Amino acid sequence: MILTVKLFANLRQGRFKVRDMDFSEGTTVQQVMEYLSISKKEMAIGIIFINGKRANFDSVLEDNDTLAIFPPVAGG
Amino acid sequence: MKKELIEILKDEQYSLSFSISDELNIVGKTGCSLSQVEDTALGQGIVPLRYQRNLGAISIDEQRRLLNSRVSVIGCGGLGGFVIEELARLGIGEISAWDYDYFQEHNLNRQLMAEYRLIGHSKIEAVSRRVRRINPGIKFIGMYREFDEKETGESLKREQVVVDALDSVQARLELSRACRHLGIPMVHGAVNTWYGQVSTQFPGEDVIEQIYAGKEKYRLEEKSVLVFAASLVASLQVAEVLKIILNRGNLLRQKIMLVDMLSMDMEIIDMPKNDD
Repeated sequence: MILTVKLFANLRQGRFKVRDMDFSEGTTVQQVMEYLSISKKEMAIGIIFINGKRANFDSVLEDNDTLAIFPPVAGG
Repeated sequence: MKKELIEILKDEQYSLSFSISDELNIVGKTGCSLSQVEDTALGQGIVPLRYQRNLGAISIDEQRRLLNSRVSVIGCGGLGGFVIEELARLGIGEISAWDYDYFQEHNLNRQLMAEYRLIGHSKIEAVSRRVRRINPGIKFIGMYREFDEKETGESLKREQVVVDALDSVQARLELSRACRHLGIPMVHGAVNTWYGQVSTQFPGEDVIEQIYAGKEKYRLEEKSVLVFAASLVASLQVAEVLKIILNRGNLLRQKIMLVDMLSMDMEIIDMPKNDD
């Protein structure tokens, strides 16, 4: 299945901004993150959206989904 | 007293030019405060010179509304310093600012109020001095303390808008609860390295919780912030504050604006309420 993966802020460094990627059926958000070498720690307070709706590490993706991953921003 | 002021303002035909020294002369003559003089003058359509270049973007009535408004800024670090500077220049009549901290050398890269000679000095004192120098018409209240929902939350109850310029998840969640309880809109900003985010939360809304709830223990490992990230996010926050007070334009309610100054793009994400 084809997913559109969008990354934000420092997650783009060494990766990409937006890319269509092929994954097998039933892939979870966490598996995509592992594939992209994004650690759970790196995403400690990040936010995940699938097609504009809030999701979590265990959410299962479907064909043509857009997955957007935002890292934590908390300084002042 | 007000009649006397109106008479003076008429007699001396200040409508062409109304400088700070004119204002101080009238203060001396009448014993009124600078803000009373300005409020009365604006009511008569006379604009203090230092607000002249605000006009056009905003009206005389709106300038007067700013003069009669109150904004509280929680945190006087990277974001807070720029936020307070801009609020003072806009002419927000009463600004209160909260910070318990002292300047350290590593603040110099990004904190507007930080100066080499002020290392070890209170941030609140520096901010207070700066506000007086920029705009003596403003009432500034410095709070030398950490924001704490239980102890100090109630003291925000007279504010019209609260600005989140904090640097901890826990404190942001506490501020969000306090503002919701008191019915005050809160303008959120946060920065890291090249990136920043801004959002506006009105009472009954939940963007701050959506972003940070359950992550209270999170400590930033990466403490890097570049100065333009702080000043840009602070400016976006101040634009939100102004629009809340003037009830104009579009606000980032149930939305978050993400700014990436490395890729040079900006994105606004909808964050509908959790129960929607």
